[in-house]
Amino acid sequence: MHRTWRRFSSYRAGVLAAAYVLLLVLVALATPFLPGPDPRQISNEVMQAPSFAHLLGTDELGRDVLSGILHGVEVSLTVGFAAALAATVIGVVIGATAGYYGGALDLLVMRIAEVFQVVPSFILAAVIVALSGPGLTRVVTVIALLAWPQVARLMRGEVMRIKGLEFVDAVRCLGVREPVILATEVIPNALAPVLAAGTLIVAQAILLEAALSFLGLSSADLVSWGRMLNSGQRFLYNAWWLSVFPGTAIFLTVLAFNLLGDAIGAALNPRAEA
Amino acid sequence: MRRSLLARFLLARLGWAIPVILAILIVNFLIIHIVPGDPIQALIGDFPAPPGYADQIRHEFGLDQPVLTQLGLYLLNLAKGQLGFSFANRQPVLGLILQRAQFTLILMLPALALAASLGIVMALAAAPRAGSLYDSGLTALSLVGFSLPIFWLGQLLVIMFAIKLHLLPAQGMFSLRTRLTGWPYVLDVLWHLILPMFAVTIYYVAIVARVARASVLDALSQDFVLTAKAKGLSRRRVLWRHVLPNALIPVVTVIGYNFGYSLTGAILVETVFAWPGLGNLFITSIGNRDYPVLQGIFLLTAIAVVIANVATDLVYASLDPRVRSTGLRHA
Amino acid sequence: MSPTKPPILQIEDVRLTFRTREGAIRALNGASLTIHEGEAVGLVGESGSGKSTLARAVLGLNPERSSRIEAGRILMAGRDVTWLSQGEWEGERGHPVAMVFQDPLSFLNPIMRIGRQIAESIERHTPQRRVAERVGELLELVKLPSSLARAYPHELSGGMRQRALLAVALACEPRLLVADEPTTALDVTTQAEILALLRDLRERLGMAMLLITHDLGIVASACERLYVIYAGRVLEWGRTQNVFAAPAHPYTVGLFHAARADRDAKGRFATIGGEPPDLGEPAQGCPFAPRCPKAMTECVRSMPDATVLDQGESHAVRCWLYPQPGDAASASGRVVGG
Repeated sequence: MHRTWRRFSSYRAGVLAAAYVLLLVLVALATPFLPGPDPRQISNEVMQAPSFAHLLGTDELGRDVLSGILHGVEVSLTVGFAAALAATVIGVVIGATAGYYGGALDLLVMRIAEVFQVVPSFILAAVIVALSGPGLTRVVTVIALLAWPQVARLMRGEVMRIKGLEFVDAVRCLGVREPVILATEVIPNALAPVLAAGTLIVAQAILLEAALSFLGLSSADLVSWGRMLNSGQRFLYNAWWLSVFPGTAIFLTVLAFNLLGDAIGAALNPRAEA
Repeated sequence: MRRSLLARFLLARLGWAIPVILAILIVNFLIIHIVPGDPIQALIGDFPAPPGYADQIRHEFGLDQPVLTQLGLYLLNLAKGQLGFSFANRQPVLGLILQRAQFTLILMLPALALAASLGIVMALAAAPRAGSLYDSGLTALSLVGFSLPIFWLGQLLVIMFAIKLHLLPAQGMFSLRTRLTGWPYVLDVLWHLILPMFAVTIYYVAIVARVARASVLDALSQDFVLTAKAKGLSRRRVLWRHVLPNALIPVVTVIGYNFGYSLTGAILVETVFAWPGLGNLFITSIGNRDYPVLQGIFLLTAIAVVIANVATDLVYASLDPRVRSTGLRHA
Repeated sequence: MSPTKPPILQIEDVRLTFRTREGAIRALNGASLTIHEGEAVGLVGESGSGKSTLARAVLGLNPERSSRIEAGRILMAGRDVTWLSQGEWEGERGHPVAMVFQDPLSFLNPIMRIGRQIAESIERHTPQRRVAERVGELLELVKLPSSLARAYPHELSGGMRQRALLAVALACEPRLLVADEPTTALDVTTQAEILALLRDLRERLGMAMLLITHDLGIVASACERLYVIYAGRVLEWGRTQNVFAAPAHPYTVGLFHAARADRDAKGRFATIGGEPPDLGEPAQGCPFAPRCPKAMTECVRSMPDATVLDQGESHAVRCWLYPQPGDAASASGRVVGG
């Protein structure tokens, strides 16, 4: 009974997280139509504490914080999804190839992946963005470049496991060519854990983008949560709401993707303990 | 015989570390060339440099020569400890970074030690009650820790404990108004250390507690615990002499292998608390477009991470006799 | 067996249950057993028969939170230890009863030197200044070079590890050694060496031994008396030679068939047919009845009392095939023997 309860409660957390993510996606899609003031709109009502006019207050240029948070969803989700998708695709292709063919190729790929996993990725990302200039595409590229080894390692392991199973041998005996086997038989069977890992990379990417923006490594004209925390840092003494609310948005979003990733992993792998 | 085993183990780990460090150097070299703009800019930065300096650097790094020659010259310069000059700080980059790194370590090492002991104590308390509310709480805590933007956590702590409650200083490493020496100085630094260290600790505990919980549970269920009990040892002694040492091995490993993660955490926290370490240097260098410093920080932290990995393996080998004889890295 | 020697261990009608997610498991269902000073006794049963649970119950080593002794008594050298708490057990383990376990690798601490693991026993039970010397003596006692004190468990072979584990137990200077399948994980040659060592040690130290095994051959070579346990109940007991000469209980008979390597046409060893018992069900009758070739209606209804088959040598059995004590009238109506 206890176990059922635990499974249910972890399932419930996953469902809650999924609902929250869905809500965020809707907000992001509806960004141009959101009611309320434009978050870039400067006004005279500077540094207002939360009130009915401005539910989450205003910043030093009189911009509405709630509006900023809602519009910031777009940047966070874009970076999160794009980076995770790119990292997953790169990781799946490289990991599957390495795992399937093995040998020197495998060795080389895994050594490269190892280097990427050893270096402090946030610092590397920050250096690259600082040198090359901010921009969403660059941030996404850098995050994807840093995150793919996680997927590649996983994929490689799965492929090595699956290619030894009997049904793959059976297909091979039918005369199907190796790359076709890889694409039609091996990869689809390995996707479940990759999906879970990809979801966790969304969380990492959102956190990383926020950290870069917090250090000022994002375009000034983008509305992003990390950037809001960056300006909030200067006003910790007189405007706590500039930090508390955007940070909460980051935290909840990252938490939701982490929970979702864990739930996906648990749901697709019944053997794993919740 | 054991000594030579350990030496062979060390040699094997160095055989792993040296190519990785080489790869990191090449990554750094590539950054200069792949980013848009003049490589000379990346090597000097945007801070006004004396006339002729650009030409000197261009010559030193052979920027008019083929790429492979450039790479060779680059590695040669690095080997000489030539990481460039920071005009914003009027100091060579290497010295600057090493000097600031001390302050980062002052913040990071106590936090690591605290987090490790806290994590283990929490796990020891939770493990025998697997599945209980307290145990689930520990799991939830580590999930929260993984999801918290650490710089935001820092801001929250400042708002709460420095600004609202006036309990602790919000910024810096020492009081600026008075000039202290000796013990009062040390106490003053400790006083300033509390909040940032607490922020870093919470972040680390998330990693440690998760692994520690699993490893304590694992160690408790091992058969040798039964042998230890059967010979009449007290529960305390079984826990401290048999369970804990076995549970510590994975924890030590995880802490060591996550050195880079820990360092990143400390660097981000520094920017919130204006702690004068690497994080602060990093953020001011971003503002100044002081590129050589940024690259230097990446290079040295990356090498530090590799060294930490090798050191972890050695500690691991000294804790677990089974590793020494196989010489295998525990993945 | 010398009947004048006092008992070192008495287990009287012990019932023990495990609480699990799937419900309660009755691991011991009224098990009784007596061992006298200096005596070697075998406890024979298949896996899941409760023999390891019984062995662990002797030292209070069953999991504290999930297991409970419901009834019965355990007397260690005359002292009742049935209801000791885990805290109280700390003072009782190792002496006068020590224990060695089945898998010598997993039962030794992998990151502690062999010598230290032995020294811990010495420091606990016979505190003295010359611990290192005593460690060497104990290693020599189990026929290991004393230089192995500095070795780690993974550096030893299976047989050496079992000897080391034995030294850990002997360091407690026990009057009774409980050995739970001490040779199962070893190859045949090493098994024989360890058994010879156990025999030798018993003679030299005058120590009693409870040997738990599924292997009747081991009992034959090492034990003076034996108990046959099935589904947490002792079904038959007696002097080894008597039981071997005339096994009484159909289950014992089945075990002998299996042990004498009666192979069927395909060369497989003969086994006892049917499934091992479901310990979740409260067993009213004889637990072996569902698999017993000679089962009768009484067998399912209730468990018979002990029938003494051989006065003076205490060969006894609990089976409806034999006349019940104080029941001479009805005994004539039953088939005796098999």
